[in-house]
Amino acid sequence: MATYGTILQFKRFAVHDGDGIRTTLFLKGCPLRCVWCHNPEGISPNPELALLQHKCLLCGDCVSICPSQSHRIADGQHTLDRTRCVACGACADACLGEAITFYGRRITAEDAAAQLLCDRSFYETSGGGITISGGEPLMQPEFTAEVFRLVHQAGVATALDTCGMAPRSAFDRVLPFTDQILFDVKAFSPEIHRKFTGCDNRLILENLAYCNTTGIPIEIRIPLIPTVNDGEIEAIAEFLAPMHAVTAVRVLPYHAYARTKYTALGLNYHGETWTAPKKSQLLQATHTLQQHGLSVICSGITDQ
Amino acid sequence: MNLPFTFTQDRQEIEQRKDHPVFEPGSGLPVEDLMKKCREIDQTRASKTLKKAQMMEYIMDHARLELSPRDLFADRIDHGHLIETFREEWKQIYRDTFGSLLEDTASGARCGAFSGSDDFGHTCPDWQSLMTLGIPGILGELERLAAEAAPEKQDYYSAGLLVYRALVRLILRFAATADRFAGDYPTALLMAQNLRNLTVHAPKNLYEAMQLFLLIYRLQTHVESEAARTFGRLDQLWGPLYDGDADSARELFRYFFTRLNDPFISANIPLTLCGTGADELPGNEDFVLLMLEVCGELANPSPKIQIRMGPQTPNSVLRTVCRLIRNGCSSFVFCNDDPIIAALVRNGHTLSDAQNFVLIGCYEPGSQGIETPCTCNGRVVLPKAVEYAMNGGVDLLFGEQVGLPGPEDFPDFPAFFSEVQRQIQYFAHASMAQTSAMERVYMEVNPSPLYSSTMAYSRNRGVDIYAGGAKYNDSSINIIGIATATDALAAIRQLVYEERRMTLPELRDILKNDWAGHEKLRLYCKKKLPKYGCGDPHVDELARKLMNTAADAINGQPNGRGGRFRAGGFSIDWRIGLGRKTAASADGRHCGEPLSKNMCASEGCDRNGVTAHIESACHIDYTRLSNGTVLDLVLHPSAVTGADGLDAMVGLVRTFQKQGGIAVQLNVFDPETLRKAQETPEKYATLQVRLCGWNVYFVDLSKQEQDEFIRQAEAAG
Repeated sequence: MATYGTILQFKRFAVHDGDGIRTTLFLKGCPLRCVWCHNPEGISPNPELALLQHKCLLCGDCVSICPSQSHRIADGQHTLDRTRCVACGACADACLGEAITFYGRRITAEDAAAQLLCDRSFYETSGGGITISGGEPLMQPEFTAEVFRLVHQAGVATALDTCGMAPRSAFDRVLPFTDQILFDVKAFSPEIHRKFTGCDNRLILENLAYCNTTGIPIEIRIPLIPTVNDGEIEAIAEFLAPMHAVTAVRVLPYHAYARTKYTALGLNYHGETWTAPKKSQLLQATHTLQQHGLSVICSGITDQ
Repeated sequence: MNLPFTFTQDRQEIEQRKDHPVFEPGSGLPVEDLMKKCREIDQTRASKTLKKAQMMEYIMDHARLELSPRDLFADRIDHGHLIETFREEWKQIYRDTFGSLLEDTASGARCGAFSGSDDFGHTCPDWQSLMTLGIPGILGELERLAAEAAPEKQDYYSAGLLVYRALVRLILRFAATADRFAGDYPTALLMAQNLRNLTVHAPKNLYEAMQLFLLIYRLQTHVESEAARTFGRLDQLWGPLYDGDADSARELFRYFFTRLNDPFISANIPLTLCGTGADELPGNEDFVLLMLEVCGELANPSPKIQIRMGPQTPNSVLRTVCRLIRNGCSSFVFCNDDPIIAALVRNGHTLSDAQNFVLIGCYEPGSQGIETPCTCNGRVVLPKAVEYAMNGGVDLLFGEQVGLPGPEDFPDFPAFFSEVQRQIQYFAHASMAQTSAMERVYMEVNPSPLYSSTMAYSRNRGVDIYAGGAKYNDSSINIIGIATATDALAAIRQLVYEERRMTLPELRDILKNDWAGHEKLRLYCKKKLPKYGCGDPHVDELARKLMNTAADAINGQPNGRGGRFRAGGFSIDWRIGLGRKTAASADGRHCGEPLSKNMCASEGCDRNGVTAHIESACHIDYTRLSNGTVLDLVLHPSAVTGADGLDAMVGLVRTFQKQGGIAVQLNVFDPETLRKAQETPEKYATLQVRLCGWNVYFVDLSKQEQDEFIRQAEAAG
């Protein structure tokens, strides 16, 4: 029987999600609730619509096609009643203004693998491959494992981009077909982690230690958010230093560009609470990590 | 060699001089006097060849000279573009000899469907001959050949001798002018000696070679008036003179490259690096990297550098070029040896001649020093063929019968497609007929004593290049608007023949009225129907068939000067003017909007990103396009940051090469920067973009062109 997954989108020519040129498949659903999340469309495991008001042509095609009468256009305003919407996606297909995006299409692992293999020739010349990201891929371990297996069968390398919050069994299901792990570490202190992501991080760190024992190369990713986790870098660095499978640590500077996405999804945005890190803060974090013998990638710092 | 000054000290003065040349007082006659004498020469009964040589001789002997004692080079003279003035007058013969043909094809040009013309603007001088023989060697050859020449070839050799002897005298005039500054400026002393060396031997070092190339470039381009559109395979030509003294070589290249940026040089000067025949030379990689390093340092639009590539191209070269492009120095094109060589062979070149190709102009391959491919003679505008197929050959915008008459409806898509093919073939034949007619009288319009006698192949035969004296005398017709035409056909296939939403005449009437009252249909066509550039084989196959139809109608047909026609696929900035003359098209394009660019998807239609765009472009059979074409890609800076970003750029280029793409050029910028440059141009005076096959400063573009770049950058984000 076919294995189905719920996906957000494919991104071709993904350059910073593992080695070489890649295609990244984003899956829907995430166990964490990071307050700064840049991809709010990936949080809920359920299909949903995003509506960009400024692109709406007010043509009314969505109103007439919608089976649940969720769309309303009146007085030059387009409103979407999310309590009625069954997220079938018909309106997104019909929308001529490209104002409606449907997140949460269900596809088979075979379909996903076929689409991921479109750019094979680019992976070959650049040492690239495919990446599954999210949301959290390990919330759909059967699908992720099956896609990886199929892609592997075609001789293409795989990378798993995970927040680490998943049962050990999910890792065990997926890691046998994984060539590289991109592992997020957002904080070291469980309190800070809980405060800003809604979850304790002990399982995450245990899972990271476990991944380290498999010998699969791991790139650590730290989103740097001043006043949230900039005080955590030293402790994270100490934790990572002895891990032989960790090949690099990528520091991702926080940015506050996600507001449009939240509005489109009908969600509240809290991101303005923080500011993007200054160059000196990026430099500091890079330096701290490097002092523990870690190889650091930080755009604007390590590539100058 | 030790230079008395450093480039850094001289740069400001040199750059100022290039924008505002100051001709030495007393160094010659004003342009009016030169004109008067040339007019007298034109009144004589001599052949056009001799007249032109005598005019050039007089200009070289008497024009005022420009020379900066702080520069290392001298080549500018106050020539007043006189020859061009006479050439325009001599073109009267076109009207006298085939006026009726001109009238027939005028409607095609007026309505933007097809055109044929002369082209004296794309040449590659025989740099090899200049390197081995030098000026005295070529002069000696001309004297020897003239002594034995048959009577009908006397004019050829007399003309060649006149200009070559005048060239020697001009060089000595420059040297004497430099002498006057020698007491105060050690550079002037060097310059004078270097110039005199050129009159006694072939270039023996880089400095001499640079001075020689500048002089020949300037005289052929601006005095004789045939634009030299390449310095040739410069690594291969000059590599043997590079003695390994990197510091001196870098310094010389700084002066030399700076000189290539004066305002009289249109569309930048190209040079070709790497490729079969150069890559194998010992030390070539280092020499290439040295030139690239200097280009990156100067960050000028000129020279534009064409990198020939194959699987063997060193990674160091590709990485360096990608890094330069990422830093905003985008005057580069990557071209692919395999399909280009195959295309040239397919159109009649020997393998070894094909392997020795350069790009003459922007992306037009031609064998170095033995070929004059006239790369921009004619145009076949594909979206117009689709338009005419829908409307019995009558132009929707102008109402004229320009295409072939035909039915207004067709039973199925293949029948309609055949009609499009029939119109395309007619366009091609009309374009070639006009071009050939002009070529038959080229010798009454544009004989070329300097260009011809420099080329060994022409010199040895005593036949002017424009009379067929090169080894390859091809002419070129460019096929324009491939993506617009493909998308329009894909839309017609789906709307009319699959969904059956409307009949072909109904759709035609909607297009004729520029979608008035049908905005939703237009958006449906624009946003929902399949497009070229998305890696969709069903659509890309249409593009391939269209291109093949046009190319097969052109390739191998005899031209008017002993060569044959060949097809190219670039539309550069012509697509803007031609778009203005093109009615709305079924792809959702409004009347008057630009046609698609080169091998690119229609604007905003590369929906699946850069890899899919490459995939579509690589679906075309480039062995049929020996006049070349290019894919332009825009990358967002965030996509290519860091070491992995650079690897990804190299990966794109390598995949393009492997997939058989013909040429690709990259721009890296974000829409935000471009918007700021549009608002405060003074702060972004040096921001360069690759416009077509050449670079320009972004702030110099029209608002419309700027907006288009901004939209492309947004799409890449």
